[in-house]
Amino acid sequence: MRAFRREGDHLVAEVDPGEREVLATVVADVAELLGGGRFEDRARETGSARPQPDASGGPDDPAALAMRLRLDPLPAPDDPAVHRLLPDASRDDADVAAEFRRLTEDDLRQQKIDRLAVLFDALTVEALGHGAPGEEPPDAAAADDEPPRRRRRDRGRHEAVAVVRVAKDRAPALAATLTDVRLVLGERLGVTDEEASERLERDVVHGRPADAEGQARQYLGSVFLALGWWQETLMACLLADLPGALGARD
Amino acid sequence: MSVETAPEETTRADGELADAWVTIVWNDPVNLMSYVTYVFRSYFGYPQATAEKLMLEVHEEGRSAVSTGNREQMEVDVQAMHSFGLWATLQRSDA
Repeated sequence: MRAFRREGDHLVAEVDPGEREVLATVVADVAELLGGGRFEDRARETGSARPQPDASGGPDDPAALAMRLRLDPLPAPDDPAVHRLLPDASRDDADVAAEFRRLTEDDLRQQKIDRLAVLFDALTVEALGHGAPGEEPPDAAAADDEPPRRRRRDRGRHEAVAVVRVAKDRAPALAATLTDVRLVLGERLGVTDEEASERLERDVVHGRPADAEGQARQYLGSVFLALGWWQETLMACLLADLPGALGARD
Repeated sequence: MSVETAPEETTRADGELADAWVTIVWNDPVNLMSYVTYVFRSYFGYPQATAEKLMLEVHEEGRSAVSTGNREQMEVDVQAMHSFGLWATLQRSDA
């Protein structure tokens, strides 16, 4: 996983083959938690995780329309990870929280699923298109610390370096999606306060778990930390481009 | 408000006062400080110094009031914060 960098009107980052698959799986899992169905299945059938215009769930779909006119209260999600993505809008006023949830949850849920679908596509279909098997990313040789030749030889046909390319105006949505994914992972990993966060970091870096559960946690923790680093590099690009920022481009 | 204050108008004035709401953003250990600052800058249009001050309030004091307005406006802001993955709530500003 490489840092995001500016390339014209796009932000670009390479993702190594193993990371790419792991990320796509985690993204699809979060979408499924939110009720977005199986991204892998939809992508296999239609070539995209995003719903096709005539498929159900589109703006003209009666079910989708009915959801927008929700009149009955909606219970808060049972799954704490989903609850974190769709939190209560009041801590002490159940009526305020219920009314807010009734008015906003369907839209928020759909927005988050749509953004995850965009990232899933960027990590799968599009990423492989940008980085064809055996092909180096354009400036990898210049910015690299490993010899590109050796890396090319080591890579099999299915191990293309994926290039995630996002238009600058879509980058804030990507940052929000990375946040959603990290919030779910953080919830699953028990990152409930700063102390737990530091403990996780120690465990991932220094831990030598003997049991499968510990190893799974360490693995998930490493994904969580890597995504945090990746998002940091994206934020550096986004903050630098805000009006009035030092070195802002526009 | 007229000089001769009718009872209804007093009620209405109280209602307006009580209709001041705030959006509170709560701390969480997952969100990046850079991201929270970015959200405050890009969504609310706050300058860097203000956005950073609010972000540090969230981080160090556990919460920060990031916007004020009527209930509908605060619902819009809270929905935007939830869209960004920040945990926000709304409440009356005197609460």
